[in-house]
Amino acid sequence: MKDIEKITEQLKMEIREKAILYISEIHSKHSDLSKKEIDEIIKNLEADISIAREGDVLTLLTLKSSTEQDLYSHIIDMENIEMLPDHVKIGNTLYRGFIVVANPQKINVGVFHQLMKSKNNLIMAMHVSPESSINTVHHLRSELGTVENRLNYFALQGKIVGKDVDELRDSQKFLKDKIEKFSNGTLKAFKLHFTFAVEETNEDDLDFTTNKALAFLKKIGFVVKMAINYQKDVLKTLVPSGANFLKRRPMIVTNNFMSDSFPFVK
Amino acid sequence: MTKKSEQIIFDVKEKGKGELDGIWSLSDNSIFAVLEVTPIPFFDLKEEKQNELKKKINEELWMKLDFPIEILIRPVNCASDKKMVILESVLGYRIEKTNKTKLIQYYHSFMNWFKEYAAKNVKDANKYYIVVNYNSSYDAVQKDKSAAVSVLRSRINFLIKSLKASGISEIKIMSTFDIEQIYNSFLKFYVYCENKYLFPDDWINLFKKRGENERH
Repeated sequence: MKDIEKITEQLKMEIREKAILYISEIHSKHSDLSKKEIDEIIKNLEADISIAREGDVLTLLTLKSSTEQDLYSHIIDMENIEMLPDHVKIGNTLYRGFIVVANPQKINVGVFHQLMKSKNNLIMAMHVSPESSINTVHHLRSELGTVENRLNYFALQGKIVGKDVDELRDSQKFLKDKIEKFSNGTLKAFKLHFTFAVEETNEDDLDFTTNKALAFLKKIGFVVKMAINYQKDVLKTLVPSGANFLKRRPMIVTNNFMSDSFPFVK
Repeated sequence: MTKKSEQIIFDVKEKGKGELDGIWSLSDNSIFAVLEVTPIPFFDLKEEKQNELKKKINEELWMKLDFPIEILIRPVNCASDKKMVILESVLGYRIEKTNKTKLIQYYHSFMNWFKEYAAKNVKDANKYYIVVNYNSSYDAVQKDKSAAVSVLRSRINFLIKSLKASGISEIKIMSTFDIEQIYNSFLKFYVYCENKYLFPDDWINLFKKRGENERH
């Protein structure tokens, strides 16, 4: 951010805290700035909707007249909160929260862009946490052990060909390849919690929009569950705080999955 | 944001001020900061460039990331036309019921202006955030927040560097005021115009300012 923008932001905060600021104070505090720069800052401050200028004073605009206050309190009165098992209602907005419990092996780049673009009214949060390669390899080795035990069992039975055996050999190869890639650092694992909520204005529209979003996610291979009785926790998880209030088992994905699902594209 | 709503919904313990502007803490003593990211026009690129970008995102961000992050995408002005109809009908009914002539007149001229303003300025958009968090419980026992803040700052710097190397150039560290606006937008009526959340007091102030401008 440029210096002028930074100073403007700081002064806005000051006005919001003190409710008043003299223009002479800006001049004395920022004597290193030129007149043109100070004029630009004052112009920016005046443009803020919650700040008014009267001569040499910048004041915080408050709702002064009783009519303004009356109208404001009538609007605020409508902002009640209601917690229900399958949605949260705040004012005229309904939120219905979901948890994704399983993911497809592969997704296409821009899939979330498509999901967000198609008026599904979704708020989504992905809590991503790197998993240590030791844990991942340990987990894969135990999976490999199970596969190899079954192959040995078939071998003891004298069964060395067949569809079952071929599938197990493919899994063995796949797991060995993954173990090698995780061990030498060419693959990395992440724990992923994927939470989202549908936002609407009434229950009928909420049902409709929910079905539309769920159909889309199902089509691309995600398994989704509604967070019945945990709607408040979904909402808490969806406001920016970094915390995940839904203690569910994470999905384990690779760096390739994360790169493909990179959502900052348009 | 009212204290009551905050208690019902969120676990915020402290909102960073001064030197700690933009660094908030939760009741479990974790601290967090929010980055706003402008997405890259990926689909306008040729396939070769797209693959190159994907490779960079993988190498610079995912392979190097060693702490948890939260990626958040939020559409703003969701169903705004429907919300406007509800606001007008419910609010109109309530105001008419008061029988206060001055308030009713004020409401009608406000609502006419607000509908026109919203039709012109309210547009659907998605906002993209990355939340960086650090659980500072250990530091809280020692009552030394500075160590936790320095870890959080180094994580923010890493992310900005990695995202820039991945081709994302527009990244903004959000101030306390910006974060508060996002929280408020979950609890209050709002419209999002010109990169700002506007709440009922802002609407009335805008209406008032417009009246003053017209008089001048």
